Amino acid sequence: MNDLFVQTFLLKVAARCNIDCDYCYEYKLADQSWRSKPSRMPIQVLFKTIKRIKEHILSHELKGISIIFHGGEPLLAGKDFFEQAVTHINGELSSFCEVKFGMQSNGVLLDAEWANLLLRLKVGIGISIDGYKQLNDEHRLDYRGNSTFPRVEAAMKILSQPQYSEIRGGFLTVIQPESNPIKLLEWFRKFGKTQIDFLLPHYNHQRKPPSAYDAVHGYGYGLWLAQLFDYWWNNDIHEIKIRIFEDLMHLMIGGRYAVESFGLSPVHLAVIQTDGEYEAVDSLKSTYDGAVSTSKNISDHSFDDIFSEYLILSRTAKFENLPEKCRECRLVKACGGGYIPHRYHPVFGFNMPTIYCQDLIFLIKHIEKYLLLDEKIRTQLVEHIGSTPTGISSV
Amino acid sequence: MELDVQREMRENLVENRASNDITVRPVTTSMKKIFLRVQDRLNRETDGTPHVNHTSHQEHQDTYTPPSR
Repeated sequence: MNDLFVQTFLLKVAARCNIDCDYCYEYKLADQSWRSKPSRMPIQVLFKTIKRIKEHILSHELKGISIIFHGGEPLLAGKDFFEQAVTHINGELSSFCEVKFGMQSNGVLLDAEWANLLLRLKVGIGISIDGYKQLNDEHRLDYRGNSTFPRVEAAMKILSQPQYSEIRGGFLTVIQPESNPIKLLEWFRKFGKTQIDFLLPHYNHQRKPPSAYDAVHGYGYGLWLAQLFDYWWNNDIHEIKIRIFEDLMHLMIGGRYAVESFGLSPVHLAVIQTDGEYEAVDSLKSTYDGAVSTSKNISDHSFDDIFSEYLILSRTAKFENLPEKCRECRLVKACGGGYIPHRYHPVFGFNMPTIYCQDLIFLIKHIEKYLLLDEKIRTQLVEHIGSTPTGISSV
Repeated sequence: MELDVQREMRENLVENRASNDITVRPVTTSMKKIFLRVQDRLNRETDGTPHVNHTSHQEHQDTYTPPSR
C-alpha cells in the first residue's frame, strides 16, 4: 500500500457556529470561504460523500476508517441529520470496514438528550474549552459577548457521568502562555479520567504570537508546557492523558503514529465541506484567503484525485517538504517541523520551520531529560533522535 | 477578563521566565508507570497493531493505547 490514501474523513456538517471565538480559524482569520458555503451539509451531499468513501475503502482495501463530524458547530446539523447520516453510513460501510465516529463540539448545545443520541449512535464527542471561566472567557464568548462557560461546563458534567464513558472524547484546549498551567490541570482533574490536547494557537510568520520572544523559550509556550509536564510527571496524575506529551515521547523513542501536528508520518486526512468541496486541512484558513481551496468536489472527483494538490501531498511526504534547517535538525522525528499552518510565511510560503520552533525545541529537550533516566528508553533516544546520555547537545 | 486576573497572568509569565528552575527528580514509581506506558505503546505499534494518526481536530479515545500491563 502506498501512502496516498485517506483514513480520516472530516465532514463539515455545519459551516456556521453558535459562538464567536475571537481566534477561530474558520471565521476570524485570513480565509473567509465560509461565507459562500451552505450553512448545513445537505443529506444528499453526505450520501454522495459516503459513496466516494466506499469507493476509496474498496480500492485501497482499508480495514478501518474514522469519520469526524465537524464544523463550525456540528450539533447545529440537528439530531435528525445525525440519525440519518450514521444509519446510512453503517448500512453502506460497516459490513466490510470498521467505522469509528467522532465529533468535535463547543458543547454549548449538548444536553442529556443529545448525549443519549450520540451514545446510541456510538459517536464519540470531544469538547473544546480553554479551561476555567476566566481563561475560557478570554476568547470563547457568544455573539452577545456573554460567557459560554456555564453551558460548556454543564455539558462536561453530563459527559463525565459513567454511562457516557464510551463516547467521551476529551478536551481540546488552546494554550494561553500567561496562565498558570498547574491551576488549569487541577481544574480539569475534577472531571475525572480524561484526555486533554493542549493546542498551540494558529499563529505563523506573518501573524506572530503576541507574547514576547526570547531565544531560549521562544514565545513562552514551550516553557508553559514544560512546567505542565513537570507537574503532570512528578505527581502521579495518570488519570489525565495529555496528548502532546504522550505523542512526543512516543515519537522521540521511535514511534511512528501520532497526532498530525508532530512526527513525519503521512497524514491520511481529507476535509469535505458542506457543499461537497474537498479542502486542504481546514486550519490552513489561518494563513491566507483561499489556502484550503482545491476546486475539486465529491461529484466530479475521487479521493485519490486530491493528492495532486500540493498542500495535501506535502502532508503525505512530510520530510521531503520541510525546509533544510528542519531536515538537518536532530529533533525533526519528534516535532516533524511543526504543524503546517504555523510554518506559513508571506514570502517563503510553507518552506519555513514552525513559528514555535524554539518553543518545541525547549519542550522536547526538557522531556528528553526525564526520559534519559530510564536505561532502555535512553538507548532508544540515542538511536532515534541522537540524544547524548547526559542530554547535552547543541540543539 | 477582570484586571486582577490579567495582572496575575502577566505576573505568572514573568515569574515563569525568570525562574526556569526546572529540575529532574529521581525516578519514582510514578515515573516508572509512564516509562512502561510509553514502551508499551511503542511495542504495540511495532507488533503491527493497526494505528492511524489522529488529527488536531479531535481528541480521540483511541489516540492512546490502554494503560500498561
